[in-house]
Amino acid sequence: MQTLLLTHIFIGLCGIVASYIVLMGLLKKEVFLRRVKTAAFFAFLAYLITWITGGGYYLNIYGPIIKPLINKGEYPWAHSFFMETKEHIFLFLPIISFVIWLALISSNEHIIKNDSLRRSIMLLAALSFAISVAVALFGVVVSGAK
Amino acid sequence: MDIHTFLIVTHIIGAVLGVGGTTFAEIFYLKALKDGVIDPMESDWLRTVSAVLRVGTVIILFSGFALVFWNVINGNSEYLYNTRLWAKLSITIIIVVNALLLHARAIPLWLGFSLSFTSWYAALILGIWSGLNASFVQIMLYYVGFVIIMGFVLDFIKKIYLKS
Repeated sequence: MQTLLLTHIFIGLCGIVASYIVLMGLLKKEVFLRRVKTAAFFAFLAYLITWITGGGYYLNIYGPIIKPLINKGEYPWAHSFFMETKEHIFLFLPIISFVIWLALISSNEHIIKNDSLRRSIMLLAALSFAISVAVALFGVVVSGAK
Repeated sequence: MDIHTFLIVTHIIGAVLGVGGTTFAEIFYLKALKDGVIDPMESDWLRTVSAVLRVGTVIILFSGFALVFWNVINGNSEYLYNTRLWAKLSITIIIVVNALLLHARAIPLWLGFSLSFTSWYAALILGIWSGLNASFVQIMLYYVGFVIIMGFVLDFIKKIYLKS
């Protein structure tokens, strides 16, 4: 079961790094489209895997063992606020990262010429990066509460 | 070497790469500014240093979260509410966001360089200074103070160097 948590953390971090590469790639004057598209795909894949492993860990360990400990401990808000928020805002990540990847593969070279399209995808990438960082920090808060 | 020591050593290597990278970025940038033109060789040096900084960031990110995981599975969960850890996490986020802002040219260069320089050194110092007894707010206030001071110091060094 620790493997599930380790995979969840490691793949989640890979997702954050991939989201960062997408954002950084779109910010550059010269967009390396292939690199950005590959990173966008890996971000989507990483969020899918981290969703499945996180779900498995929640069902088998967190829900039955850790959650009752946190609720009875000194920091019950770690679950009631941070875990609840983490669970809900995380759900945006696979969807947003899929939209970003889809937008990148369908717009192709247009993204280099069309500034408003590039800015829109950049905003989505910034949103997914911000959510992924927040979710990772919430994970640290929850892990420290038991 | 046990896993914990390995993770600590890796974490320190990441911080050292970051500190070295940001120091040389500043030196190469100053040298490049001397003649007013960034030639291809200087541009290549800056790109290399930038790659070292990225590698350092990725290493501290992964080794840092591996240390978090190690502490959780070994029952040291209280470590995760350590103010030094949260200051380091906040400063790492500042390093990453600062790099984005510098790329987007959305931040003045003096502030961007000062943030990068102070943040990497602060992360290294906080990592080493295990006996530090200060609140999160105190650490961050000192950090903000040093960012401003370093901004002036780096600007002063730049003016002196460019005049010489």
